[in-house]
Amino acid sequence: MVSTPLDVQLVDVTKRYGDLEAVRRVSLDVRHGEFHSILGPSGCGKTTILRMIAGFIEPTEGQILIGGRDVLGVPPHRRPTSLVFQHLALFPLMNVYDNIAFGLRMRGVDERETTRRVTEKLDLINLLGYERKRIDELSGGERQRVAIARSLIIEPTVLLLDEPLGALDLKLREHMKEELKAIQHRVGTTFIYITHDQGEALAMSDRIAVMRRGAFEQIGTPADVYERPDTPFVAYFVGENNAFAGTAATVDGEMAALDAPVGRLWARNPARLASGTRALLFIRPEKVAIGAGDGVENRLQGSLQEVYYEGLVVRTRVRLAEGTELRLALPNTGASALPQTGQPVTVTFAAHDAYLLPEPSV
Amino acid sequence: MASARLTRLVYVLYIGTFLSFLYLPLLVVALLAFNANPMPAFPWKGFTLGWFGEVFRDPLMMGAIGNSVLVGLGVVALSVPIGVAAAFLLVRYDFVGKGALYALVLSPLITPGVILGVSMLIFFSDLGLQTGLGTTVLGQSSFIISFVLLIVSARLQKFDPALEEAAQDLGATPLRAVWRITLPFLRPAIVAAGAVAFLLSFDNFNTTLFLIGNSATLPIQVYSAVRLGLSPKINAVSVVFILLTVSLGLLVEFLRREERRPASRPEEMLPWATAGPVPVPAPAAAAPSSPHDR
Amino acid sequence: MTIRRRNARTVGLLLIPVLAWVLLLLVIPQLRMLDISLRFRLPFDQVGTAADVHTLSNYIEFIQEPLYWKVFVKTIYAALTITVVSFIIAFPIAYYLAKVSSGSWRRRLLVLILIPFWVNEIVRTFAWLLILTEQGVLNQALRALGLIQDPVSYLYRDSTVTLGMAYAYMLFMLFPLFAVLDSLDFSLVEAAQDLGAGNARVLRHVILPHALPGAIAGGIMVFMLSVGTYVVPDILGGKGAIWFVQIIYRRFYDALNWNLGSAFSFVLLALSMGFVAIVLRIFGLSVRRAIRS
Repeated sequence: MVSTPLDVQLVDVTKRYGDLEAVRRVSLDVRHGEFHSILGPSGCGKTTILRMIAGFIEPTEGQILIGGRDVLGVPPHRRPTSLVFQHLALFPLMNVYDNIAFGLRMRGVDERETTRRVTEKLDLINLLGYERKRIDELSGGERQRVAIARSLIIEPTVLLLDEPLGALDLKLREHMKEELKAIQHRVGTTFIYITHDQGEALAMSDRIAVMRRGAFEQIGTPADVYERPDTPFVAYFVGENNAFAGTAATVDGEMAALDAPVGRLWARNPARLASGTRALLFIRPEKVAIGAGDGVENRLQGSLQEVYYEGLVVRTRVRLAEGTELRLALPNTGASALPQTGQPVTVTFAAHDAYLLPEPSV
Repeated sequence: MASARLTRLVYVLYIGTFLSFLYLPLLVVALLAFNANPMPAFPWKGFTLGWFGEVFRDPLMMGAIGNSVLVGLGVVALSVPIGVAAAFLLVRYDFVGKGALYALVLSPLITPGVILGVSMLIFFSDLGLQTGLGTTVLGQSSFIISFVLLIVSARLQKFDPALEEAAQDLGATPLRAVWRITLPFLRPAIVAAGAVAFLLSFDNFNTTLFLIGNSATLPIQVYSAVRLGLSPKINAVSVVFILLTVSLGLLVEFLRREERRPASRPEEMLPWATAGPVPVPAPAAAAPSSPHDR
Repeated sequence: MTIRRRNARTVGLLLIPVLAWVLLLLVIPQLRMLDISLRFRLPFDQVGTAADVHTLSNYIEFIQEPLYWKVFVKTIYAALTITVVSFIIAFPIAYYLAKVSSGSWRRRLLVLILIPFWVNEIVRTFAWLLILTEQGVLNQALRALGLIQDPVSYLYRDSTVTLGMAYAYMLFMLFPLFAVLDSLDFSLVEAAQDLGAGNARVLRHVILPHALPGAIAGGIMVFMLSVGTYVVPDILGGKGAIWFVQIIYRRFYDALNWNLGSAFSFVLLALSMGFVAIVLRIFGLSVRRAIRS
């Protein structure tokens, strides 16, 4: 197997502010050409990590290597990284051309070469002809692209993006996700992208590191993280999830049963929990069906509470006999007409779609 | 509604009276400057520009104007750099004793000009410095720097530090980032502060009185003339003085209006932000004249 | 937002000019002034010798000599009066400017008020001198109207000086008040009215509290200018009138008694700072907020 070089490596990086540990012994390997995200709620430390890679903060402990070199003590303007700021930080007194050209001018590139490369970048982001426009004349999406072009033009080893899509409205955000991915493919630069929006992370990344309270809980591909979460936090944070609490029983190789208030449920047991352990059973809304499915291990009775028509999916809440509420996300195929709210329904899901994770101790 | 109209009427009357009270003395001064009466009083004896002629031929008066300009320029040259440095220091950095320093740099604003003049006179004489234009520059700067500091730091606080970080991230050394990004942003404030500094210096009396020695600036010269006796010549030079300071004041106002334009945070760059509110002489920060006794 | 880079070198570099200014032009001179005020006035050759000891004699003289003390009190009293009067007169105008007027009329009115503000204190005082002298405009007008027979001497009275001071310094109250009233969100007033407050109550509970920082900033400035006034009493008061800064000036230049003059200066400084401290303490504001407004 050919091993791809590592553009960024964090080795047991810790950042402490007085007694507070913002980042706790974090290790990360980012491969060359990868689109790697760090996903986590606000305050989990992801921005701190990004700024440590960029050089604005120094780690208290641990090592950071960029392109194989230890960058301890190297100031930001001498690191082979480029940061796209959350609010973009475009220079308001300069036009588009000067903003993008800034990095080249700092490096003493001559004007003709600069013009050539700026034009090339403008073409890449589809803003040819915008050279003289001032920043406040641009729309949100256009500014976004200028910021990225400005950072890419200096050909950094790795591009760091700090939740750049937060200020955009929904449609634009969706569009920018595709654009970013396309740009990254075309240019081939390694991207490290931090966000709290799991939709962004899942859509764009090659790999995701899910972060919580200063530490990574799981690193994997979007599918890994979504389908096979390692911890309850990841299970909840990435996408929506239903959970049943109970005690593991009858462990049978890969599968196990959970004794829950609602009854006995069957699921996968990837964590190899022993019988008698307190556990949570997770099942994704889209894996639950309405109606009496055949040959499906888990079948529950309940009543339909609410239906939310969202166009792409139809979400419903079902209240089960003993009080738990289950969320379903049904595809809008129109195939099955739903019963009236308040009516009894049967919901089913397969054991191999559900999984057990240990109940969190905290 | 009748009562609203009445209120408005009362307001208008009140303000009208106030304005008349403000302007009347000045109009009297201006008018009598053109009166061919050896005393600055009525009756009106004909229109003349002779008093102005006397002013322009008076070497002391013209010299005083020249000195005022020189001192003003000196004060600007000294105050603006130090004021900008102080603004950066206090807005950006934390350090031991910052609170005390903050109090010290703002203290001249509440120190009567006399005190500044007297204390520096004593100190300079200890050092063997002769009073004159140089000591006047130093003396006036002592409090004018505080004004520069206020004006510049008000703008500096609106600066998004992420811009400097972005510049560094793109390869600029910290110093270059400040030079290319932060200072251009501060330029309107720096220019306005320079104009304010000049105006404050031009108008200053109480501090200058102790430090000017044998020379004179315009306020000092006018004061001496008044002490010597009333003459329409004083009216004439007053008119000149008024024209100079009012033009300066209008310039300062214009510059401060300019200053309210580009904001640096993207959220602030909205179409209506550039229309700007009514430009107010932000009082403590830029009372176009100084509380330091003109 | 502070960039908390513990970049000691930059802080050090910036501190050099700032500390030079603060120490060389402010702290050391004023300390030296204090020092001189605590010494005797000695002939040149005796300075620095054994006779040059520290003494409170200058301050004692200040307290004991009734003239000095009376002048001091008079100055404070006048300054306080002017401060209060300025507030009363300026407040409605500031309110009108901030809340009632609008648009280009407001801008023009502001400029109209600013213009006399820019005129030098000396010129403005001279203007009053012209009006008030025996041959001055006021007397001439009154005689022409037949209201008086002989010219009245308006000058050389304390009340005249006070008037002149008010004229000179009132605008320093107007602008801070205007700024702070401008920042008052009018919907607060409307909300209070909606909840049943009449005009007087709205004034007391909504407007005045909001205006307080501005009033304090303006009040401090007016007070400081008034106690430190020199030109106005000198021009309008004539040789008879004595106000505090004049005493200082005369000690320095006429009597060449720098020691006594310094003592008085220091008293003035203490007064000025003390006033500010007391006002801020009473109204519970920090120095920073008052300066900002």
